[in-house]
Amino acid sequence: MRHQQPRTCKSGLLALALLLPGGGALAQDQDNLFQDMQFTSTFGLGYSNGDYGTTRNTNVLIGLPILSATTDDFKFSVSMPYMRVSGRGLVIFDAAGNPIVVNRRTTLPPATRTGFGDLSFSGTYSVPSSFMDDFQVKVSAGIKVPTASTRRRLSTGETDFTMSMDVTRSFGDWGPFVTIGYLVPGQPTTFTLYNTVSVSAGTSYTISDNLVAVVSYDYDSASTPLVTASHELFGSLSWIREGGMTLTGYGTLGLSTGSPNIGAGLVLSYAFR
Amino acid sequence: MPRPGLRILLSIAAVLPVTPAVAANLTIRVENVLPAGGILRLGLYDEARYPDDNAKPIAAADVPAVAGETVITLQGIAPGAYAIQAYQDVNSNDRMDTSWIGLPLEPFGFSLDIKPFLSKPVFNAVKFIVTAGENSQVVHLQNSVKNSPAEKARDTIRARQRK
Repeated sequence: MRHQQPRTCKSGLLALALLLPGGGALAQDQDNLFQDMQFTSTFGLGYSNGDYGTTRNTNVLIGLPILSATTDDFKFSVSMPYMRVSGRGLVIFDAAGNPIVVNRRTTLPPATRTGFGDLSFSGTYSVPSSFMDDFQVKVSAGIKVPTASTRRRLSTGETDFTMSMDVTRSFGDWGPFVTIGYLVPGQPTTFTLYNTVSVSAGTSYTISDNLVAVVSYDYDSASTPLVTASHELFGSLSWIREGGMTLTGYGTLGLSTGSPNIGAGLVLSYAFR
Repeated sequence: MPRPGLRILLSIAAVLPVTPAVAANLTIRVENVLPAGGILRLGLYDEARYPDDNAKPIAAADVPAVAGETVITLQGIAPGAYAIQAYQDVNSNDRMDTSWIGLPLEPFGFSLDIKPFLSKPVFNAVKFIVTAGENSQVVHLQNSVKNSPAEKARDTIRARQRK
């Protein structure tokens, strides 16, 4: 504890007074832009299993490394999954991770496809809460570049665009949220893809200072004429450690033929400068 | 996010040059303190000093931020009208961090829980009366969602969804 230091309080008040600063303050803040940047590395390992309305199951194992840079209210991320897809080659995945059934023929021999998926870039802007009262609003946009092999059916071979908006409000330990997303896929020549809408509605619950649970209902509209919309229940438990590490375990339960029957995974995230 | 936690009771001497003949004590419960730690910095201002960002507060306290709730007691204050401004200096860098357009990045609060819009609220909006004897106020920190454990958890999940 330090005793009264008027200078320290003054600096805080000055910041509040300068919610719309002049050019000088702006330039000074821009100088600090990179100095204040925080980097986060995340690695997720996920498994899912489902028939997606076909007569055969497809098992998917995804390792997903993500690098993120956060400065002020902006966050930029780049990711490239490594996938192991075993089944009959009927299912590939779009930029949002949604299954795309491209062929219902069951005469194809079973095969295991492995390799890197498409490269994705995304940017997120958190609207300052000063403007949003007690709401937190995030808007995101992303692009998936078709770097993965189309021959091994690890990609559609097209560039996809995503955008989403996430609204959260805190009510004590509860944090209900709604996320709405829209995906515009590139159009391959061999099959038809729809633009898709996704909605996720749920809540977080802060069990303790370092333990948070999240449950949600997730919906994704059908991405092709061959698959139905995806309805899923999602649940997770995150352990947040001091020093910037977060470990999350999650599970999913499919409610429709367009979603995986089950899914589970672990995500480890570490924030550093 | 009120949360039971250790309470720190601190007695901070007022900085008036002369202790008033009829003094008051003011206990301030600061709520929504993030578990991220850092220093909770709080200042008490009268009407003359409040608008001037360079003015010294009537009384102030810099104390370790206690998750959930931090309690501060300011002693020896002259009765009158005052305003409270506080913020959680999460990274203990002795200043409130702001975005590139000057918006606060760390949790902050005013007396009466008034929410600022584009600039800090005027004194009349945040003032309260301190009378002789014991007084209390509650300040809920704003801007806490972004750095909350729940938000960190959801960030991790968003990564899973690759959206």
